[in-house]
Amino acid sequence: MPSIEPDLLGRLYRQHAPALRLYARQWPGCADDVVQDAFVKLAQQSPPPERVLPWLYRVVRNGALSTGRAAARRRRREGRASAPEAWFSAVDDHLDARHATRLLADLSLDLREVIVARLWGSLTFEEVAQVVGCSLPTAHRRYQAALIELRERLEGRWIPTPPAPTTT
Amino acid sequence: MDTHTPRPDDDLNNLERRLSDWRPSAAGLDPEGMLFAAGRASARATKARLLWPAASACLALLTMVLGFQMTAERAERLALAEQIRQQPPAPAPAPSAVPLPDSQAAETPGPDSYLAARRALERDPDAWAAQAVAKGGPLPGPPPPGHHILQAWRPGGTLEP
Repeated sequence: MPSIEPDLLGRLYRQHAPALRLYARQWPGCADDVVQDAFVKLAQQSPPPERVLPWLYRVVRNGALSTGRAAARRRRREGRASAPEAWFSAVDDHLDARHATRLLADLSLDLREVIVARLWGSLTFEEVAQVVGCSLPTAHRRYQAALIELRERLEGRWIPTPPAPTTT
Repeated sequence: MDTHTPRPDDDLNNLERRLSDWRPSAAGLDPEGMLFAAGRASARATKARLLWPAASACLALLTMVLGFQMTAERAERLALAEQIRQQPPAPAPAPSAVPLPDSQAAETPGPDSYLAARRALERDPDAWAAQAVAKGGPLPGPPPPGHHILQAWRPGGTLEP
């Protein structure tokens, strides 16, 4: 069984790499390397996976988690925080890219990875639940909670609350 | 192979539409670099890549086995040499009572042999001739006239006998 064609691989990269990098940025570490490694692994798959996009998100998540631990340790050791860069190239007229980045980055990780995979990754809720490793209702609930929190942050009505325990 | 799952639009509210219009930044992404890395990784992933490590592992294993055998064999050889060195020397063999036959006597020729006759001739030719006559054998005389044998002639002499 042949592996994936280079043309298709390049097209997939141009189409999905920005959202995948946004997804990988939920964890500390080099998101660019994680995304590139995921596509390199995809090129080595023979036969290629049936559903490429959820497979890519799963590989990126695993890679970001593993490199994120090392990056977090290194960052703690070096005692400095990474300078935030704009995660978006274009947002709406009422918002600039850095503000949008801050809005998204302030979400908790559970909510953020669900809304990124759903909104910008175009995954279905079933795929999001499989990638994240939670149940389908939990994925729905996290998505709705993330939308509500983002709306309140956009409208300036957000009041931080202590995080509730999540169920998977 | 499904690469893009269409998302139903009717579950998008205004906020979702607004958020989904945000475009994730593509700055810094390098498709050519990714394709190069993918091609290099796929070339490295061939089975021939495992050939040298496998051969090296086999040779290392063979070296270990042969080294162990050589060490064991050398230890056995050293133990055997030490055992031989520690044994008392064997007693010398007793001299035999029966005298060995004299080699010179064994080589003594018989009285009628050629060697005995030659030695006797060298010692005393006259006595040997007398002994030969006494034994009844005629002395060798001149050849009969019928026999033509080569003879030496003086220079200038006649050719007839």
